Amino acid sequence: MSKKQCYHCNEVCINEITHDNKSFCCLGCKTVYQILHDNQMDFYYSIENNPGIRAHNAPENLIYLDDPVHIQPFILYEDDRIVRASFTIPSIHCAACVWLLENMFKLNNNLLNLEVNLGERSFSFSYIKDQISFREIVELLIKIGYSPSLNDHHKGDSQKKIQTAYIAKLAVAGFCFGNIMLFSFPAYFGIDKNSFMGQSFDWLNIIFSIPILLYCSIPFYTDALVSIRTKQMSLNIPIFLGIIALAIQTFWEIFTQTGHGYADSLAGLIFFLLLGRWIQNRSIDYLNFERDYKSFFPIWVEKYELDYLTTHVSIQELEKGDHYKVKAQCIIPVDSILKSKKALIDYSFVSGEAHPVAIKEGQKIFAGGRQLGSSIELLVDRNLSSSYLSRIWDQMNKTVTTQQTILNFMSKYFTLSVIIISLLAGFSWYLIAPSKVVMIVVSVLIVACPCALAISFPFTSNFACLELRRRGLFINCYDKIEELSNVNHIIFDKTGTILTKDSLPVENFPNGLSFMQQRLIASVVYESEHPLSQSIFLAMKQDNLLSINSYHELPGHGIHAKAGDYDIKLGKASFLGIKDDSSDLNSAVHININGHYLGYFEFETTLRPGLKELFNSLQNYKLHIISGDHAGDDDILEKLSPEHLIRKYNMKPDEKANYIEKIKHTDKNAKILMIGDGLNDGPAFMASDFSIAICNQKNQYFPSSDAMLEANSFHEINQFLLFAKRAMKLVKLNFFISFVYNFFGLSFACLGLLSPLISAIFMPVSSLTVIFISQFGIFLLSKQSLRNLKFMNNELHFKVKNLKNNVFLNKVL
Amino acid sequence: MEVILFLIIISILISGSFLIVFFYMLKRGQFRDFKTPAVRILLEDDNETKTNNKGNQNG
Repeated sequence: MSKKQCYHCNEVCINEITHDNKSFCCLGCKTVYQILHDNQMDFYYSIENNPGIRAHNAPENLIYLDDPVHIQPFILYEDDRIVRASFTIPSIHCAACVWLLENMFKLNNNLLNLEVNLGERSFSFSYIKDQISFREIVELLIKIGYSPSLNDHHKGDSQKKIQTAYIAKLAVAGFCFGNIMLFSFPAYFGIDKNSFMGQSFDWLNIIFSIPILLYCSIPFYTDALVSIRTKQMSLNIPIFLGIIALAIQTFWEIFTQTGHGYADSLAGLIFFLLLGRWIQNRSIDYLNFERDYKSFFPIWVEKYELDYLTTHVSIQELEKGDHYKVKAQCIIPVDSILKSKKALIDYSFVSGEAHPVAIKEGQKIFAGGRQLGSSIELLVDRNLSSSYLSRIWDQMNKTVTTQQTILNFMSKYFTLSVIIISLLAGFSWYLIAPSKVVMIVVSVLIVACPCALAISFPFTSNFACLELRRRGLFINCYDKIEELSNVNHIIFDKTGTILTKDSLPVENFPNGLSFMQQRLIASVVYESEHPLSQSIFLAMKQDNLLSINSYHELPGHGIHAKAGDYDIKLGKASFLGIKDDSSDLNSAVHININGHYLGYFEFETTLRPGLKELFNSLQNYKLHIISGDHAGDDDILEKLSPEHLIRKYNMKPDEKANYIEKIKHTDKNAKILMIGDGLNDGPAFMASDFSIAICNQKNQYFPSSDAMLEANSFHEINQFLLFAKRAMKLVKLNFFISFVYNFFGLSFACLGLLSPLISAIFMPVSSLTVIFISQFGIFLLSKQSLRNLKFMNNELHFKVKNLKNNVFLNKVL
Repeated sequence: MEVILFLIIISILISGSFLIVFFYMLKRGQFRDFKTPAVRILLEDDNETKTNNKGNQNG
């Protein structure tokens, strides 16, 4: 078999189609090429090599898009003639995509103003209403491999708005900060505060402080209010007190002409705090990959109105008792009762159980199961929000506990001590010189402003997350790195995480297979969508296929087909009516041609590479393996693992979560890291302190985990853990430095020596030191503890690679 | 010396107008997308010629 790569999508051509002297892996890719070629759009292929996305032309009924209600979320603007709309297309990933989508008007001249946003993967366009419909545009996009994601309704928008607001505030703060610094110089050099020039500069500072106070500081006021309302001693309170103290002191000194005030310190403080906020938000917005489970569901179903008439309703509208239809290979969106005779449900999506379950008429089917056979009719038993899957999900999202982070801990004591120190200083000065009390209290509050403290944690953990991200571990919320550093128990999910299935089969045929038999098997399995069939097809390496006369597949059991004079049966032992000799843990496909049993293909379970070394390097952690699967591979794991590895099998999703709760209950100091790969690990992910989802080609479900790990970096987990630990040490170092600064600052303030000049130098310098230490420290740390890890050459590529699978998945569902 | 005050006022007006322009651009979405324009500028120019060349080669 030739191993050419598809000209369009770069995948290896299993069943090569040649056209125009170019190889294509499937008809879909060829079709896209033809469309583009016919429209003189070959330039697409010259921008990047093999830029295309494999087009899976599953016949999809998009009629519901003709209903204005369903497209409303995507419409930005509409008048009599023109509509402007926008949606996300997950497969946008390179320059060629941008070019193709922005030149779509060449394919259909009713499309106008096409605009791609590569970063957000969004596509906005206008179209002439009377000439083309929304549905036709979507169909056109699907045809060329760019399926829009019609389940997401611009989730990132609010985040984007917050970020824009920060940019605006940052700009104003920077502008005012710069000007105020300039106007403060004369004061530093001792200009006479009563001269006309001296006063003018002071008044200019007042003018520039006003936007800082009334506009830039708004987030800090609201945060302080929240802290007060929830009775939390957070850093927001000293920040708020500091701002107020600075403002009052500045205004007082300038109005009474007793001094130059602290406008420079105020502006600097706000500017650096805003900078910190902006950076921490930016990293969050970059990692918006979490997907709602609903995005795997069909968007709409066909509902029977009067037993014969069908209408399209969205799944949210389904009510108890409704009679509806689910197509083959679709996920059942709500808990239902089967109305058809029989259904074969694959619950792997929810429970991780690999084997499908047969359901008879009148029995219950839980949401999240996938119908494997033909289409079925169902009665709604529970609506969407009260269905089993929704309840698991809600439970997962509700258990957000307020964690006792190091930052919270620090800020609590910091806030308390600042208030106590200012009171003590005030009291002492009341005894010495009562007239100075207000001044002293205010200057303590001014200088104790926890700028360095407030930005040290976000900066350090942000830089650390960036370094980790470059090496394949994507943490979705920067402050979670602290949880990662505290881990002492590690729980692995078994199937998919430490074991991988679906490699090429081992042939177990006593007499071998003749060429004709191989060809026959390849021809039959080619017709089947089953993953095992696909693997066998790959192993057979046949490209000259026979035509099949009759084909019958019993999903989950086997295939019975006829080709010419041959009658072939393949599948499970029970399907062929023989005794199963193969070992329990591996899947086998048995072959019978013309009544003669030939042997079987065995699919071995393989361990993820580097697992033994990984387990050995994790001696300091308690390791657990939990699985929803049977105990089949226990002996392999036993051989490989150190003695303290605890193994549990046959666990349902909520049992996994309970198991974690139990560990926490018995060991109060347990910090649990859960590593898994599917939605079935979802509840366990929520119960654990830190969760990592493994991403590879085969795994497309992104549960709501704290981090995603590129499968190739799996065996480096110990290094990631070490790095996180060291990063947290750096944070502590920064806290220490910030305390040293504060100690000196407070001494000055308590002694009544704080001048505007000292304050103006002191505050930015402390912030800058902390920023420098976190940046430089993380750089050194990553050089030291992550040096063995390869750089991900392109993180965007990594994300797309996984998202590509998601696109595929959505289509299959 | 008082002329400095005059200069300062002018400089504030000028820099203030830059700030206003910045705000206008922020509203217009200049800072919403950093990646695409960088890519787009490389495509737009040679678009027509390359398409033709390719088209000719493929007959």
